[in-house]
Amino acid sequence: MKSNFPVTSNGNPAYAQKGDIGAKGPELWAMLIEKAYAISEGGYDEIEGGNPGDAMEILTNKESTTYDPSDYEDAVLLKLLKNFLSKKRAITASSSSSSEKKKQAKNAGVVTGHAYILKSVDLSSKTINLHNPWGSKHLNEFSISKFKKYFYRFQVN
Amino acid sequence: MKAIIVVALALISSLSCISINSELKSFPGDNVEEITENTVGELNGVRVGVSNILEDTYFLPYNRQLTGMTAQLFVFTDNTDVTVGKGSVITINKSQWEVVKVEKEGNELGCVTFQRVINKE
Repeated sequence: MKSNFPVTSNGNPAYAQKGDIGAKGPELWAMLIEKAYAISEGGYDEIEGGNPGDAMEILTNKESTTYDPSDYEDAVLLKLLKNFLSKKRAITASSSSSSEKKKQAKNAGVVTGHAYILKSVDLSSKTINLHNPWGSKHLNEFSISKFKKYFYRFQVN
Repeated sequence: MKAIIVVALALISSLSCISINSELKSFPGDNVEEITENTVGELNGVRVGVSNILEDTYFLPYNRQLTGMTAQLFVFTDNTDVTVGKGSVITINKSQWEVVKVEKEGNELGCVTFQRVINKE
């Protein structure tokens, strides 16, 4: 693999971005893994979109299990998510892209048809923090009821 | 009275990052950028996320309300969302970009096409 990356017209990385900057420069591991995966699949266009559980299986080498949030009562779901996080499991969540809920989801700050990463669970406030892989526009203090309304699955590795 | 209206319109225009200006002129060619729904692209070096492409109402200056395909833009430098449709003009890093197309086919990811605009001489 050559040590170069596709860039935008302004010279910035076109896909995954540089990470934290240390004494030896920025972290590049995400860009390197993404490039290796793109090469193995036939190009960056071939790895656009898809199932986040599949991506986590490739990253963690652990099988992905899919859950439907609407199958659980709020309190049970919060405890389940908290339990998975305490066991250091990777949890991704997929937002719905159904047209009837899209405008409401937009108003709730959700990027519809998108994958997020679960960062934390607060049992007392019944909220969760979801990380947007864009690196911004995260869903912080997002209520578990909205999670059940606007997300159709979460996957655990 | 006329002066008050002009000042009010100028104030409204300055408060919004979306503006439309009859003196603007689009130049085809190199200054066209497309950003696919649910991805982050760049306009003038600034990261812009595109999401939630759907039929909705959007506003242009002077309270013009239109209905059509819209997209939600997330401008990273401002940390803000803005809803745009065809004809919207956004100012990013001192550069103006007109939304010339908002496309979506069924459940496929949509796309927004921007064209840089500059002041007519």
